[in-house]
Amino acid sequence: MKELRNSEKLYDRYADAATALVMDQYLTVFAESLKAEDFAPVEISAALNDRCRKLIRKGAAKELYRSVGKNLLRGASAAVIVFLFLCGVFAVLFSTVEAIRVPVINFFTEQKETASEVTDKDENEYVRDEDVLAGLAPEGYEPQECKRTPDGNLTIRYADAGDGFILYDELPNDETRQIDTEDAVTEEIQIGGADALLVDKEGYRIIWYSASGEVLYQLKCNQLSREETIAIAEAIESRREEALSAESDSDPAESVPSKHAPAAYDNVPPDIPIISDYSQSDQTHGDAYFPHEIHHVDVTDIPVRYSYIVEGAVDSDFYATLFDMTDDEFIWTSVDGEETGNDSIGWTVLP
Amino acid sequence: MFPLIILTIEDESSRDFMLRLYVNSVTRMYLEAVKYVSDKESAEDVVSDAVVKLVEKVDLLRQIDEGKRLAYAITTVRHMAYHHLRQESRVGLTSFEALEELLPSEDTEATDDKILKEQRKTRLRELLTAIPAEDRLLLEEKFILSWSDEEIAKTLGIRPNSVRMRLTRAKRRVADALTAQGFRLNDWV
Repeated sequence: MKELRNSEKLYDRYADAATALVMDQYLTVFAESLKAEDFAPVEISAALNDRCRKLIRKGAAKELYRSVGKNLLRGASAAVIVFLFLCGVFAVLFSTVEAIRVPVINFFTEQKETASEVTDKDENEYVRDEDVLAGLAPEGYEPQECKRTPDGNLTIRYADAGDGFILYDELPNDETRQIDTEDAVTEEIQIGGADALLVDKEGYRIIWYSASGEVLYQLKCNQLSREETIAIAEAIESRREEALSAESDSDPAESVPSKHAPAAYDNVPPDIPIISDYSQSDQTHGDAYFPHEIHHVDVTDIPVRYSYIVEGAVDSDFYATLFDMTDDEFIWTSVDGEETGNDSIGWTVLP
Repeated sequence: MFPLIILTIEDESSRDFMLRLYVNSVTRMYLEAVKYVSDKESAEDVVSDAVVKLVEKVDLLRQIDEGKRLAYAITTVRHMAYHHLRQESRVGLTSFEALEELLPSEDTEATDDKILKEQRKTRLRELLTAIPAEDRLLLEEKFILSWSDEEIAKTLGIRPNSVRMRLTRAKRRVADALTAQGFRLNDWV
């Protein structure tokens, strides 16, 4: 005990335990004495009974709210602890176990790609009037993609039922680009009078620059012959030159170019005659003129697919709109209400 | 929603539990109250105050032995009576000296077991009479009624910090008194 005295803290613990024991014994003895006790019955007033019963009911309800609140708090705390624990476990596993890290990263990458596809769906849609390959691809090739990105890159892709594809790119010549010519046969050729590089590796690829040198063109065909590939590149360049000369011939002050029209007219190959006779409209490409008063054009017999251009020459204003083709009837919309001049309809039939 | 329903059911049981305890104890509680307060109205006030306190301690009451519940209820009544009298400034701690009467007189029936029990009671009686009434109240409220320091402070009219200090001193006095009696822990366990 002397030793305990020397340690006040230890002695307090002893005192605490001893007191608890004494008080427990005291309650036990007291309870036993109550059991053995005889007491005279006494009448409890109804008022006290009512008051106490009400207090019990009210107190029990109060305890319920307190208990519910305490349990909810305890549950919420447990949930937070479990969540933090799982986060910790995940963080440790993610940082240390590659077998977990890789699938997780892949999952989010896939999600991102999926989201991107959804987001970019409109951009990836085939935009007919940007398709410089329209009518140039051999039979069996179908357009898969025609997309121009906000920074000016144009990508057009055609593919056949197998593995064959034709890929055309327009890229701003604003950075150094590397072309894979390892184990490839290269040849310097001319496209539209300009120097071009033909690369023979897993198909044929032709690279050439625009006259201004600002744009890099690339055409790749993995299953076409050298001659076919060059022919397509030449045709593309011819269309571009014709479009440029047409633009230079027109008075810029009188022209309000549409977003779609010039590109669509570029699509008409120069070697296919433009016809003005509507009755001969079974050609693959055509152009029919009619007075603007005609607002209904029956195109039942016109083998037109995809879309066509209606251009209204109204005084000095030009206006062009891209329409989707319907099966049997095209309802023409007047350009701006002005009823002068002639209007025209042009179309291109794709393979 | 489901846990709430469970809690509601549990509380129904708590209410029934308290009502049963009340029905079984109210007469004895009332008799205890009238020991300390003279008029019937004050005795009823003391009993109803004790009922409120008991409801607050329902979780504790569920845990203790059934035989001790009545003792707990009576002890609560006694402390509420003290609180009642103190509020009316009719009693000081030193005048509240009836505690030792609670312990029963020695039993003359002599079996070994009963002899041991009687020896323990005798020691307890000597111990409780050796420590001041103020300490006994304090220790009862802390160790028997399991009141918080704030509850004790309210009853005794002191600050919670003072409760802790007084408790430490009271416990040391109990330990000293036990030592003076030749207390050995093994004799009690």
